[in-house]
Amino acid sequence: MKLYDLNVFHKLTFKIVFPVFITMSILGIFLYSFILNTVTEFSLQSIKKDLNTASRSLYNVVDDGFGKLLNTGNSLDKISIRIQKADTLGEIEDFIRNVNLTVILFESKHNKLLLNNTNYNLKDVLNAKLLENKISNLRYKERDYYVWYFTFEPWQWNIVLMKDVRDYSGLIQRVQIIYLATGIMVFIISLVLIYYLHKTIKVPIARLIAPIKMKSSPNYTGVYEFEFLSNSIRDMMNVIKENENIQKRKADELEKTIKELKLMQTQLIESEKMAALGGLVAGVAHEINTPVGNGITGITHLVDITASISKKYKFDDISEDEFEEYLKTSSDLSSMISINLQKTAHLVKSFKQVAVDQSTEEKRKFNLKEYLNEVLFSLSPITQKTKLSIILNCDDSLVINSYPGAFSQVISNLIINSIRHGYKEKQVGTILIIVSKYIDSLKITYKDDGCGISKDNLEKIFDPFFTTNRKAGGTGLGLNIIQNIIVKNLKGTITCMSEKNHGVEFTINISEL
Amino acid sequence: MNSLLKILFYLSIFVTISYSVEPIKIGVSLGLTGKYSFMSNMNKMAYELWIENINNKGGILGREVKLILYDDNSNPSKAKELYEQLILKDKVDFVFAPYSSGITQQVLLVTERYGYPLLSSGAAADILWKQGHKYFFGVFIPANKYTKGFLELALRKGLTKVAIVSADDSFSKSIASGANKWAKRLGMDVILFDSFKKGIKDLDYIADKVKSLNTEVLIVGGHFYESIDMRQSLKNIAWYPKAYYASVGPVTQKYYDSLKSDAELTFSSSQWEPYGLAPYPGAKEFSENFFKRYQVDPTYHASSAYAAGQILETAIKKAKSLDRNKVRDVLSSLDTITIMGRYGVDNFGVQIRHLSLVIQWQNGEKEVVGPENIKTVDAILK
Repeated sequence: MKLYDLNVFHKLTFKIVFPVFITMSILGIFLYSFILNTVTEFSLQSIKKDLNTASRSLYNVVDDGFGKLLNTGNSLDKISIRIQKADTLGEIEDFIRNVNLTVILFESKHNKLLLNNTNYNLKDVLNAKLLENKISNLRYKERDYYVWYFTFEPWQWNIVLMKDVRDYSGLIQRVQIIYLATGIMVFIISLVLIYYLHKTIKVPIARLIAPIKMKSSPNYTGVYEFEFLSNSIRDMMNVIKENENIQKRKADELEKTIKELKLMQTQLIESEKMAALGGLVAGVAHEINTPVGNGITGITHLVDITASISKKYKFDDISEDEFEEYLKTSSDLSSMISINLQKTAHLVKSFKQVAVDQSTEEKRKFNLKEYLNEVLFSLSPITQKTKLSIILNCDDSLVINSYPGAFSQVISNLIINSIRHGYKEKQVGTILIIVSKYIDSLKITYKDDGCGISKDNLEKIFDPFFTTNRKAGGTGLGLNIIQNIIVKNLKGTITCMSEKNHGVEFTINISEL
Repeated sequence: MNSLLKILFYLSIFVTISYSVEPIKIGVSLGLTGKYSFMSNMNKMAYELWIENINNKGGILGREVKLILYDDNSNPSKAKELYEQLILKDKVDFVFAPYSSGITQQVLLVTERYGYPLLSSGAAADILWKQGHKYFFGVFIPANKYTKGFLELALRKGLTKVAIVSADDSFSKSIASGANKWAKRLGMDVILFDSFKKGIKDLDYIADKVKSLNTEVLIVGGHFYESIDMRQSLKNIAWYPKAYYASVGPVTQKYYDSLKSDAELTFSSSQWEPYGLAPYPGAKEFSENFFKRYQVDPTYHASSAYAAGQILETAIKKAKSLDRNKVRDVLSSLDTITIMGRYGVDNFGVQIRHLSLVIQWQNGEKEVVGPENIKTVDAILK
């Protein structure tokens, strides 16, 4: 686990206190170094100044002693000199004690140590080659000294004043103690600050967060800002809850609407189917009406001429020519009636087959070309009103095991769509249906040379209720139904390619046969 | 008559007001009994004389001065307890010093803790000024300088072979080490530097050793009894150096009274001598008053105690306060003259302005033989 992953680093208190602590620490270290350097520099300057001043004063002390000998006329009296020198040494001793200095005093004549209040050896002093009347550095037993060396020639006294650099260590130590105390104080203040932040920020925030985690509204009272935040969050959560309810209600409504729409769609599809069927029935009825009318006309005429000939026959008022005429007419009529009845029978048979297939949707083996021709025939009441040629290109012997009604609906709807949307009234055109059989699949290409579909509309043509002809009664379900039939019933695919004014081309691929 | 009554009336009011103010209480404990009884009694008599004199002059800052005195039996521990009692129980305003360096060292533990200035009128061991005390001031020179004047005198007399012996108490050792230092500085030969246990009466073995070394000068660091005992041992071995010096004892009349003619020619250092032998203002009057009151001549132990009173009086007046810290500050920088001589201390409280005398018993008299310019007679060598 990385250090930064520790939970404490993500705590609010840490994030607030840490920068403060770091800033204070850096500032503290900087100040510490600065003050320590200043104190050290100050102490060194003070030591140098002390040594300089002390050396002058000390010289005067020795000089006074020598002066006393001269003034009393004892400068040649050996005893007086010895006594005066001893006095002067005593005075030097008192002086250096009061100025907190160390001194080494020796006679250069005999290299004899006269006064030494340190452990420093005379030999060491002689070897150190100190600069006269100048500050020198001297290191002895791992201690650093600043040294001022001067001589008093009349007595050949060599005086070495020494100041331990550490004499100011007390001051430096005090600074360090103050810093240590300050450091401890900063640490304690940090702890107090953490505790204070914990109490004033962390606890209120925890009291805000805890109910939010439980998905209930916070109800904090205390610090004004947090109280404001608490109230705002509570209001916001109430709004969100309200919106959730509204959305839920709307979602329910939408679901209900979708269900209704699906139901309506189903009903519409059924209506469309029934409408198509109704159109078919109307066409067929129209088609049947002519042969049946012809038959009725023929049979009525036959009945009339038969009644006329029968009457004449009763009254024996019939000539041979008239009878032959009757026979010829009746034969023509019978023939005409027969043709019209057969035509009617064929129409009924075709209609029955298409209608049953469209309604039952049972899977069976059938000859595709024959079946499609019957479909085309069943559409003839519509197609005949146009100047369109419908060409079916299919292998005569192609038999498939599928849902003929589905094929009927697909081809019917495609042809009706072409007639309704692809061509103007009386426009000459060609519809081409090409059926290609592959080993395991079937491909039907449906082409017309009508006005085509715009690019914008092309991608929407399979959407339910999309139509460009709603005013004329288009439901927009035709191609959607075709797609549903192909995808759901025939387990196939349908695609469309088209350009405006260049007709359409539907490609249907069916794999399950 | 009316005028006289009025004067008496105002006087009575003045007296009433004067006595209504609390007196300044000064406490002291001394070894009135025990080994330091002679010197301590000298102190006591001087303190009492000073109290009487100061109150006769109207007290200090208009207040009467009262002395609270205890006997510590020359016992350091008891002295320490008594000073605690003086400060905490008797609530004295100031204290005077006890007698002897050893006792003073113990008492300093108390006075320093409670911030009571202490004028050392009965102690001179150097060690006392090397312990960083803030409220401790010497009245006379420290022990290490006691023998300086005598050694100078001996050198002038042509003596160079010096034997130094001392008792092993702090004061006596300070005397000895000071003598050793000064002898060497004067270019003299220190042929013996030795010590003996304090309280040993028979010092013949040391006397023998000193004799065998052909010693010219014998210096004995000690108090009263050491000076007597060593002189007795010299008599026992029937030998006497050219100069015999002993600290403390020979300055007292008792030394002569004890040894009679054997006291003759003994040298010592005196911080003061009576009857104007030490030429300081008031010294003669003090001697006379002292003798008049106690029928005994004062030693420097008495004068130093009296001088301590004078110095304290000056300091309080200069501070215009009984605030002990203010008085302490004045004492650390004061430069004044008392019956003892000049008072002035260095940064460590060591007395540096006082002048020591060299005395010698000659013909039953204690004579001043040094310094050269105030001597009463010439020193005599054996």
